[in-house]
Amino acid sequence: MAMQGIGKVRAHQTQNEGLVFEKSSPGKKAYKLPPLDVPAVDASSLLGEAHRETLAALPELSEIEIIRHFTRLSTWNYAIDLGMYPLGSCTMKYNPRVNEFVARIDGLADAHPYRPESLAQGILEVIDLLQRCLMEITGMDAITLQPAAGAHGEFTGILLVRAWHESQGNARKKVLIPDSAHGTNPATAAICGYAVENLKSNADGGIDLEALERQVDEETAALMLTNPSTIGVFESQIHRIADILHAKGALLYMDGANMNALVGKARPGDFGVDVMHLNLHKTFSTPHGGGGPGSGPVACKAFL
Amino acid sequence: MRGFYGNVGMFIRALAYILANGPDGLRQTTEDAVLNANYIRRKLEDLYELPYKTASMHEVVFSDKRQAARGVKTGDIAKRLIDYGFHPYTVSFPLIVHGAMMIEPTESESLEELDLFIDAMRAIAREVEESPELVKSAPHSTRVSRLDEVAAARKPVLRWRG
Repeated sequence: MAMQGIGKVRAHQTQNEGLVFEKSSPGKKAYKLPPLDVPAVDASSLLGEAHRETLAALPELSEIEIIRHFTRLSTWNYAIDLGMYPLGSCTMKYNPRVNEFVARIDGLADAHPYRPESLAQGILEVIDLLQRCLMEITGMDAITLQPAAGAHGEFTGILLVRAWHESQGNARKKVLIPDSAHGTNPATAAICGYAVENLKSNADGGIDLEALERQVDEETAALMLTNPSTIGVFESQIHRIADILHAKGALLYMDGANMNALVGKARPGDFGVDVMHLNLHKTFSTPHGGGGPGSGPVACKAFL
Repeated sequence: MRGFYGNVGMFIRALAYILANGPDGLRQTTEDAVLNANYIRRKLEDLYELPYKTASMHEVVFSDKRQAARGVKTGDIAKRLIDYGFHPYTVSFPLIVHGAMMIEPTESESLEELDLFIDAMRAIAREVEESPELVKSAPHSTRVSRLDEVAAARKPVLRWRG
């Protein structure tokens, strides 16, 4: 295999590793309970039918075997802390350690949602300041941080679009989506009860203005646009796109997956976007790992 | 809708990132993200097909057109990148590009790391010309090579049966 000395990351992948069940041996323990210092009770009378007579079929190992098993498995993973992770669309940027330091400060790490508001002013200030930062960065007037992922944000955003159209007397029937869009866009529109209409890209990979003008009508609820597009190109006609939609009472939704190309340079609120979502785990360096938790804030204009 | 205030732990991290960078720092990360993507584009466009010539922002999308003529697809090149110690780029997306290779380095990478990645991509392009089978059968450095990805997703085995 001619590698010409290129490449860096070498995980310990050559070491075999059986399943934890295969390593199991009867009677091995990783713990020892302390002597009983409270009155003994009869478990079966307390638990009734839930009380089991036989042991659960769990593997039996010593502590060091468990530690080594999972440590070895962890070395098979690839991570941004090991090397470059050029997974397009996902913005796999480094998660700075200062983020983790701040998140572990006692007063913030111990915050609990049932804490009375009078005792949660610190964390509420963090939330409020983040909201104001994100509104400044996007140029939008209002924001919710509740959605837990980008797709969740899209869903929230299009429900918002639907609710607004309903308040105007007509929920409308269709959502336009470019053929370059993330697959979650059409899924979102469909789940929100809209027909999805495909919008063909032009020769530059952007929105075809003539096609857009033909396809936008009084039954169009919104266009879901990713800007920059998924081929990494900024929609230079974005003002015109917004005008075409607004002339028919349709809204411009922006998928903020590619916001990492815009922060500090251009604001969606300034180029005609009515509602959008962000991905804190992409643009704002929170972890992608282990399935999240992600965060997909939705920002919108005042009229929404 | 997510309960309570959402994933609050992530808000703390995102705010720390925003405040640690400040307005000028955030603008710089954007510029660096765009610069890094265009650096890769410039260093690879002689070997990999660039379907859209419009200026790139934070990511660049190539197609496997030239390599496909030798029977090597975007997915094969991605698997070969694993042998060079890199996570693969995004494969076959967006759908408007046939055989898409979507690369987003982000602002985090140093010039040295970008050059290593570029060297790997250029080496793979040479391998496609000289020994396409080597690329088509990659990765060679992992415990298992090519999984049946469809079966793994549709018929996962989740329970141990001794």
